[in-house]
Amino acid sequence: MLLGVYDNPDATLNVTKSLKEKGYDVYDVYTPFAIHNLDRVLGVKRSRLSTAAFCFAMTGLVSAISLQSFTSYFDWPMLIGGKPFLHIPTYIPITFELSILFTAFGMVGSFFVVNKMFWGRNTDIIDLRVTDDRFVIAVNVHDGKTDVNELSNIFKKGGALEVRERINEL
Amino acid sequence: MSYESPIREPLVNGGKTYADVTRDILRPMENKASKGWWIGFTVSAIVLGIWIAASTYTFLTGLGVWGLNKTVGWAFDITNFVFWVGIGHAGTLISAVLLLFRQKWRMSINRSAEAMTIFAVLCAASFILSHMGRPWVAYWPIPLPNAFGTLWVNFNSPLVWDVFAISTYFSVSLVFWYIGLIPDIATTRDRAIGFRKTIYNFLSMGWNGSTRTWHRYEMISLILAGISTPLVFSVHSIVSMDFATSLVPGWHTTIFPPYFVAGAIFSGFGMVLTLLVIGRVVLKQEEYITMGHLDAMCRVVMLTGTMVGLAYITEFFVAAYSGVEYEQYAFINRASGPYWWSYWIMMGCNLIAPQVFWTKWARSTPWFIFVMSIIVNIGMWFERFVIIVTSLHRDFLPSSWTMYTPTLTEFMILFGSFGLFFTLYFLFIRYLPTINMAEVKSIIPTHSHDDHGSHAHAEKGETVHG
Amino acid sequence: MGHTTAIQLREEKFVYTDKAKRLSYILMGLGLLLALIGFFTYHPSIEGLSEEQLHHLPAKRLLGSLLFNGYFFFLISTLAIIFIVISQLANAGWYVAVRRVFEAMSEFMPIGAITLFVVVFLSLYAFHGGIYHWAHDGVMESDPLLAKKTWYLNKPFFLIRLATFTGFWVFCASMIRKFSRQEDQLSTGLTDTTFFDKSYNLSALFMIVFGFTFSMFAWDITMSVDAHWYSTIFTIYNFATGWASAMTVAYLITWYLRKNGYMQGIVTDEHMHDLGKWVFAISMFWTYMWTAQFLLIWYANIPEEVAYYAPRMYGSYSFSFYFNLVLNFVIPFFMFMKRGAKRNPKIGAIVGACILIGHWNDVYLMVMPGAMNLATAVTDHNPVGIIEVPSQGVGLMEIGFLSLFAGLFLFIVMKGLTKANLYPTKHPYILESVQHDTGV
Repeated sequence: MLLGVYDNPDATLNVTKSLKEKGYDVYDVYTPFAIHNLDRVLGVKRSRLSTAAFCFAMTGLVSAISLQSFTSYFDWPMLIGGKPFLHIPTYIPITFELSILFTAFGMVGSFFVVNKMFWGRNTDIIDLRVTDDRFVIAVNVHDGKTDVNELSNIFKKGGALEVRERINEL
Repeated sequence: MSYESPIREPLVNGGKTYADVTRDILRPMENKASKGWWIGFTVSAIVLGIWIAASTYTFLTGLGVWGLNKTVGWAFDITNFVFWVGIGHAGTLISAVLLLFRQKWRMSINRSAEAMTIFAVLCAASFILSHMGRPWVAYWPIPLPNAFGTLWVNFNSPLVWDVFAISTYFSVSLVFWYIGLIPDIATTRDRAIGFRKTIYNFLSMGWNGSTRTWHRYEMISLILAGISTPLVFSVHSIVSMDFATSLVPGWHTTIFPPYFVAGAIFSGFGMVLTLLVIGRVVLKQEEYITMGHLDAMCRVVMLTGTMVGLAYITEFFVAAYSGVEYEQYAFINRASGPYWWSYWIMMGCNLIAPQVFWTKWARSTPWFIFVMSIIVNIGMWFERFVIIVTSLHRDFLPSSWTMYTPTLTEFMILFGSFGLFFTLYFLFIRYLPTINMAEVKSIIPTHSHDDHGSHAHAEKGETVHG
Repeated sequence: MGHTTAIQLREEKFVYTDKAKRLSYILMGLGLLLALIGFFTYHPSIEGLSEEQLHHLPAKRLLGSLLFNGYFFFLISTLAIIFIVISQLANAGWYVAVRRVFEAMSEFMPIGAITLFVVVFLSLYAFHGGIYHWAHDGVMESDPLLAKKTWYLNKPFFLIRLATFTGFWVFCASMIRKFSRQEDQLSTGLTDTTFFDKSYNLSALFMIVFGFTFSMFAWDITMSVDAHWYSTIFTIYNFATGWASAMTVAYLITWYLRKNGYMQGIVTDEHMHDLGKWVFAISMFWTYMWTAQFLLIWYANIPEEVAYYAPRMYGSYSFSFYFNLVLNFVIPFFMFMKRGAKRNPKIGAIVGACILIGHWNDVYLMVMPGAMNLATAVTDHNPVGIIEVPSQGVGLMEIGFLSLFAGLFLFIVMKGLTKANLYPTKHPYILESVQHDTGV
């Protein structure tokens, strides 16, 4: 794996774009903040988290309505303030809150699962300064297929501060 | 970098590089705690002690130590609760609503505002607990199968809605805040050594800055912002329904939900200004929280203050228009009854005082902004006092008419709650980055890396090569 | 910087073709015809009402339909300029490319205001109160509750308020449009903020005045139709109705322009996405206002207040009542949540049509139940002095006037679009807007 280290988001974006166009196997780009459009250039598939969010919201909605109608209509109906036992308008607040609660926790949970993030995880950080002011493009080198010299030339021409090799898989 | 119009003022001054941002913002965490921090923390902790003492005294003795009586059954406790919940709205509002409105100036202030939200909601929750009188049975509003047969909680009750709303709000805000913190915790981790590294490594959940992660991170932030926006609205609306679903004149009015939300934004921004006008100087963050930020916040304060004022006038007008004499009496009594002074403090602080922000001078003079922010806090506390106490102290039965006088214990709990708030806040500025570094880095101009201080992104002319 | 092509701001004028004009003419002509047929063929027979009482109904229905249709389109055009005002005050950049659409929509304001004034004037003076119960002869004197409202609800004061408020808004809107068009003539480049600042300052003033005057305006025009009833949130509710409709109309017009080849490379799917978000967001805001008003009144169950909801929810208007929620909340919520939907003109058109019908129905529901009611003597058995007339449904008159006003509105807006370049070329934020990208 060959790494190109940059200090500028625009250069990072441009180099990634040209690497993609030339057909290199770009493994990933590591940046201190989200660079606009980089995900599209890299061809990251659009995350389905938003669909997941909708499903969680519906789960919350159904749970809330079931809870309230079960307790106050089926299980133990009580006459309070002359309201009907199936007092649908007053379900609104709790139904709303539980939908939000389920969405938030469900989504964040799925986010951690797809990213394999959990408390106490030790990651192999590609460059300590990648969370500070460095941008690293990681390209997979396939023996016999990838021209390492040309690759490192592209890196350097794009303004790389440093080009280095990395043996370990991430 | 998205294109920015040259007429926009830079959001970060001083031509910062990415490394500068990291260094500046982590400085208060990486250096030894300053003397100022120790003084502030100690004072807050002492005030927190007052809160613990007064609350313990209340719990051990009973609610009789408060000034409540048969007619005025809610007073300081609920006033303080609504006051703190209101303050707890600006954080999520700044992060969520301003994110959806693409107001980039939010980026330097959202972290501390969200922290403030969480601490303020904790303070608010403490008043819910203490006004129950028996905090050890505080789990009763939760729908659990219980020892009394399967008697469930009353889902018709706005107080039960409140339990759901506040706990949802607290936990979602906490999650939102934590998600925002993860990249910055990773930054802290990668600069730390020893024990600190272990702790921040644990908290960073293995963040590595990969583009794939960033992509999902951006999406989850946007969705969290999307659901937090209606959440913020709903929470204070539900708080307002504690009053508005009743039949009490002055409480039962349909404008309460949006009016409480506007008030919450107003008081929340008041508190953010109180903290940041001082904080930016003490933490040396003037280049991140610029005069432009203060200016924008002053405008929001003025706007929301006027909206709240419009609601006051609407209530008054509609009471007059309704022709219902109980409504009319409730409002005349507010303005000219025995608690008239609290009404006029509310009007003066919330509607009239913020109008000074029409002038450029007021918006650009930090000490004055600080004074105004205190006035806003006072005004919003009195708003809740006016709504709660003046509506209750005149009962439907004139024989029950009475006055409410707070006791020393109640004052101590109110005062002490600020200790709880500030103790947590001081811990926050010591152990977590107070400005969202990743977001700030994304808005500083790329070119400042090569040539310090110039804002070359301000391209002129009509043709832009993107 | 994902864009590789250079952006060229160019002169681009909208051409209002004869074919498009014909549509407006047909809508107007057909609408007028239908309304007239509807009026002359309307011979109600309702059990329990005398010939003389029935005799009042056609005029009431005519005025009521005129009023709520006029009000609906006036709200759309007013809230269009308010959207510009709000965006300006928030220093928003993205909306600049579609700003002219909103400006053109606000051109309808004078006609809407005149319609309202004429209908109100006729109601108050020519038809013995017409749709306004409180304006009927003798009602204010004999009804003890209404007698307490004469300081506010009286004919001259009502008309003065209506004229001054709408007059001031029309004036501000025309000034904002004027500044915007003058800005196009600047030759000093995109950093010249002369008109930007002028417009900003006027917007701040306009917003504050609007906040206070719109409250009274909504109480007057629609709340006082049910003169006994009151609700403090009513203004904001009306505001939300108008705003949701205005965003929807702007969204649809922008699609129309893009489909016809205008604003290529200037207004992109990104703008549609953001406009769509606004449509969605304001629909949810409307739902919030609806819930706040309904839930609190339903919960407290005070006779004075539930009198408003009783005929709407349980009476002859109950279909409209639930239809309202389906069109204005359920459909946008489920169909417009996904990102792809807001970028899809077909789904956009379906949802947009539903929302517009929904809010039209909403305004119908505000005005017609109260407007059709008959005044009678106040007695112990009938303390409010009202004979409730069951719903007469949506007939030729309502549809006819809708068509008439829709045609007129389209005509004015399309004409308005031809008056200036299709987007501001010298606005300081125009380049930000053109390169707008909604992100994830």
